[in-house]
Amino acid sequence: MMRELKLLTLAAIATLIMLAQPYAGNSAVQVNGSVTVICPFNVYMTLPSTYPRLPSLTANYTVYTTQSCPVENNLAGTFTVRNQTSNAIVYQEPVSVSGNGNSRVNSAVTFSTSNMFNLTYVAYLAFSLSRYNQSTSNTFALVNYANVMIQGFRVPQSVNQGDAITYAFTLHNVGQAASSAISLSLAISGPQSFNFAYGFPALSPGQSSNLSITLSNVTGTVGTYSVKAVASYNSLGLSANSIPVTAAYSVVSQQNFPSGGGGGGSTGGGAGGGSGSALPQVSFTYMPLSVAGQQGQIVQSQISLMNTGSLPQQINLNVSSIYSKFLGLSAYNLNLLPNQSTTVQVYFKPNLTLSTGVYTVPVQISAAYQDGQKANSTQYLTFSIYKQNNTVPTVATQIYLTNSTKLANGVISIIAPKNASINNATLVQWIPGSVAMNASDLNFYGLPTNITVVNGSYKVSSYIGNLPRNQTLYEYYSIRGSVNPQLLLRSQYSIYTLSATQAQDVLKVADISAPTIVSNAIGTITVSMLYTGTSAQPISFTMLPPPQITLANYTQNVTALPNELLVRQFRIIKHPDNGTYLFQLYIKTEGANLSYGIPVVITPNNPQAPGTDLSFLPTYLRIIIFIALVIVILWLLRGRIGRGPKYSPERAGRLIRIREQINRGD
Amino acid sequence: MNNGPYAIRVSSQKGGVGKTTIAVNLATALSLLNYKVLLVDADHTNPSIGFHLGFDQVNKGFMDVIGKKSSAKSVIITHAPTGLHVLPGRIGATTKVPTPRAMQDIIFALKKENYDFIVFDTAPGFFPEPASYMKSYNEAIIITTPEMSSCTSAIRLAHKYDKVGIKHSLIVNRIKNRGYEVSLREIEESYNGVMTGTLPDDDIVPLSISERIPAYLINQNNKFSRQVAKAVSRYGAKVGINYTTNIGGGGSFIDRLLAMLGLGRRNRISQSLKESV
Repeated sequence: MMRELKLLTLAAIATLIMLAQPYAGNSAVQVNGSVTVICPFNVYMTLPSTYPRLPSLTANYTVYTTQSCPVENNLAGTFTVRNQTSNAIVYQEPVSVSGNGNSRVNSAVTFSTSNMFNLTYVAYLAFSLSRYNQSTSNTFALVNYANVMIQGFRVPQSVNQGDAITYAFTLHNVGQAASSAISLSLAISGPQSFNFAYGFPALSPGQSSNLSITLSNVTGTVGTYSVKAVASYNSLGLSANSIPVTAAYSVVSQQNFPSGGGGGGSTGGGAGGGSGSALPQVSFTYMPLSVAGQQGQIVQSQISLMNTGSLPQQINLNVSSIYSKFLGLSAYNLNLLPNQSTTVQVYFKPNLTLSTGVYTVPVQISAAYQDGQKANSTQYLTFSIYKQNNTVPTVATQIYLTNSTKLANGVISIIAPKNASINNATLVQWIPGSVAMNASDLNFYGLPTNITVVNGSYKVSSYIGNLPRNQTLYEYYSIRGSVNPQLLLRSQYSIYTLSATQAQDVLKVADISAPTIVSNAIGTITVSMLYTGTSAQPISFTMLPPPQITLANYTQNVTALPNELLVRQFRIIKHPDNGTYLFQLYIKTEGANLSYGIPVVITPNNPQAPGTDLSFLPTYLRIIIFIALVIVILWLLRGRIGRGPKYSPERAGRLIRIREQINRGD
Repeated sequence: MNNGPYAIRVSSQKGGVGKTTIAVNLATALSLLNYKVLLVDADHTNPSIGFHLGFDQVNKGFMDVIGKKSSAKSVIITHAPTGLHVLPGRIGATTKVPTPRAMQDIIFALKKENYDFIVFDTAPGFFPEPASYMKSYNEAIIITTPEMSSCTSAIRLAHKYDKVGIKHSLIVNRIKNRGYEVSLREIEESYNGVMTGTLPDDDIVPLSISERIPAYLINQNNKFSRQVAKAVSRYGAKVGINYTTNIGGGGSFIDRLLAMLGLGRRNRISQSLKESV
């Protein structure tokens, strides 16, 4: 008894000593014969969670005092980097700072990665002075840079003149770090040259995006073309370019018209357009410059004229017979009094046998003035005939000039293919810079639009959320004070679609445990998820319960390290008495997300249920059951009690005798 | 101050008592304490460190260095998870017993390198080796198991070490705590040296060999690893550098309290350690 009391007393004293120790260790004042006063300090270190594996890296740190006194001079410490898994030291060096009267000192340590691999490490920084110690640690992962590649670049071998052309490919980040500021440039060279640039969302490691770019008005001239695509991007502060990919294709003529039928955009652009000065005293107040139509459909436009002279005029319009099969006018002979205006309807009616392409149609106009004089002029109308595609969208444009060509108006039709709808696409229009003085003169209506200037051209980006198959969407625009509206014929159009990014398979749910909950108890849903990404990344867990149920913690955010098993618990603190309820779990990180429906069963508590409570039994029976249980437990433990080795003086003596024999033997 | 590498010979008179397991885990524990450690597979009869660390397919090994076919530096491998430097054994190498002179040369050569510890895993038995060679080692660790024949062999080996004047200590391995085992007190009374470790028979050992990762690296808080940590805790003073760790050394609050009062169940081994250091 006395021994136990002594033991308890000693234990109490020892506990007090142990409890006191931490405070002694952190004390700002150390008593050691003489009194040394140390200004209390602390330290923190800033390290990115992901580093590129360069030969050497730098960690910034700050030492600051926590009271109004300066940082001590010659404060010595150690910077150590350990492998997080093995705890082995891969780098260590001494560091020191001097306050020189300042209460805050910023410094940096540069460390070599020669002993490191693409793994996760922990950097420790510890300073000590006398018995006063402060330390900090940061976890970081070493990875390779992002590596964006253009894969599966697909271009048709040949395309009809005037038709849209589609490039399809996949942007894939095969590196270990995220890539941002991704820009894809397309350079088309051949009889005509074009340059385009498109921006894309960031790609996480391993993530890929499927892209489809349909370009219109880049196949106006027959010939062989080459297209080169390069993606530029930024990764961990480094700018890089992907390996360029190239492809070749031919633009072939399909037109069945003799001279004047071909030419495409450039020819039409040079010759087309109404000119107010071509006929004296006649003003074209409305003149189509470019009209697009689909095979088998009639497109209507109009030409408006005004007699600006002081005498009546007779005006004759004529279209060459080779074009009359698809272009008709509502009137060919007009009589105009001074200041009188009139409008002539123009019907484009391409039949199904007419080849697709760009046609420049001359309309001869002659004016006979009352004073006996005559004048002739030829106006060129550019007419694009397209065939609706089954799989890729089509862009058709109508351009009109008014007020003697100073104001240009246009309608852009986006026609979804017959067999597919368009989702989350972007229409990009590249308008020559010479068309307008500045971007504010361009006004677009109908779609959310953004106008920028890129390499001297206006880049007009319009977002198309959803366009059902075989449907048409219209966008309208007007250009004020147009300098050279005929150049609108040289505008290019592209529709690019970014398919739903392929979710990177970095989130793997290992287990979801949702036990049946009894009505008078609280329950816990446990989610175990393995993160297999290559760099430390924040992950959010959100559990949404039905309205009748309350959780203690709906959202949990955690930074996961590579190959870390994350276990999160969601506690149900309020729920109905019974029923089955569906919870929704969302797990998200950059470039990947998961969702699960988790059914949870709640059952009523039944106090009469056999086996849950023995209170219904008489007391003597409960005692008998208890004793029986104790006996069973003791029986199970029988082999474990007292089975350890016992000291045997006989055996010890035998061993000692053996030792003596061995000693004597030599 | 480091006075040069401290060479430890892990040995036994009898085979299969766990020499390699203990050599690998002692070396791992020392390495994780920041010491620079070289582990040498000097078992010419049955080199097996490679099975513990994943180096079982090496082209050059210890016997090639002995035979002067390769330099030690070109054969030494770094084991990345532990930071250990390893001079492995080659499975297909000759099993001819190295001459004492060759062994002495290699120990002297390795002791010139910048290591804190060199741990030699040796073949079972004690060959007629001259004192001059044996004195190249700073210490020999005798491994035994708690059964009569093994303990007898350990006593015999201790006697031979005494004769050549090499300091030795004893580690009792594979303790199952069964009634038929020789008790630790009996071993302590019959062994005329310091008992520095008592390692339990733990499933983590076969698991670690299967996974080719030292048991100490798999779990530093199980019984086996805690005993390994305890066994290596005395070595700081040997090389004049004391790194500290809380791995495996703390025990429960009650253990620490009892230890402070000198009443703990760890008393026996702690006492032995104190004497040895």
